[in-house]
Amino acid sequence: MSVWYLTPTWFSGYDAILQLVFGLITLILALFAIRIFKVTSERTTKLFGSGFLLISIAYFVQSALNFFALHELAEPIQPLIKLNQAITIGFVAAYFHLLLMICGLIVLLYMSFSIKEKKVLAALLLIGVLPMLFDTDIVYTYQIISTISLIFIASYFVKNYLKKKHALRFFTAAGFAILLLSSIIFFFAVQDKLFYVAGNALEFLAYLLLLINFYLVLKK
Amino acid sequence: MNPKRGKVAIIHDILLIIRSKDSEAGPTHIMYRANLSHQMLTEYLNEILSKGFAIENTNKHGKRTYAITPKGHEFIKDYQQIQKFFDSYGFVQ
Repeated sequence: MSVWYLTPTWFSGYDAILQLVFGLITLILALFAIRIFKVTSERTTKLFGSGFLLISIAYFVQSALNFFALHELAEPIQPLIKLNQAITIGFVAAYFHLLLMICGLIVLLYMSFSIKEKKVLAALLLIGVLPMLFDTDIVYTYQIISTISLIFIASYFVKNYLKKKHALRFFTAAGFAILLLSSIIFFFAVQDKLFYVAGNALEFLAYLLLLINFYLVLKK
Repeated sequence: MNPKRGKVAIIHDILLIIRSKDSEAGPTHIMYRANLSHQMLTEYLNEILSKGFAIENTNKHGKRTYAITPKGHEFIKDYQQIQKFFDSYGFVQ
């Protein structure tokens, strides 16, 4: 799950489109899970739906922010006040995106545990969100928290696949494992632009697998 | 019937029994056909009624019967998708 790193110039705009696609895929999954929750009242579907809904909003914010940045950068000369406003809007939106993404991942992390104590969810959210509010290097903090969360989430789905080797479970496990891999790749995107592209490409592959899985679920 | 049925599968089985009796399914009939204890049947029927999948009626002999609603028919139709969704993520019901 990417934040803002060194982006190759040729990739600007494409990343915003990809994030829009990720937002749509996660929104579809979230709405379907919420619909199933309404019918079954199963806790896991509620948590899965809520987690993906938060992640979906986070992607829409990130996509909008990247489009906004692209639009602002396109203007060659800008008054200082307008530039300051753009930076402030960008910073607030970036923060909002990071917090939503962390909250979404923590809800999925809580879902992966068989604990039903709401206090655990509250504790996980505090542990995840507070460092983001007080740390100066929020990008690294975000990367560490999101990667740790994804290690547990991916291992939950991989274990489920190993319990019952089924094509549908394979797509889910592979999707989350690739999301974890992309999160690790994004660590290096601070130093090299190509890692940012690689991270986004892996993320695209992961969501494509989750979308194929969703299509197979719907298929009669 | 599968002895390790999840909650959703049991609700589905109960609704199929109600549907097969054409609105005349009584609690005893459902209990035996669905292979449930009295306590479990009461819990599941309460859930089915609260979700609007079936309605409770009283027949001419003054006995309770259950009839499936359009929402219940929709649940039966969507059941395969719901099961596949649970299975694809390995969610325990």
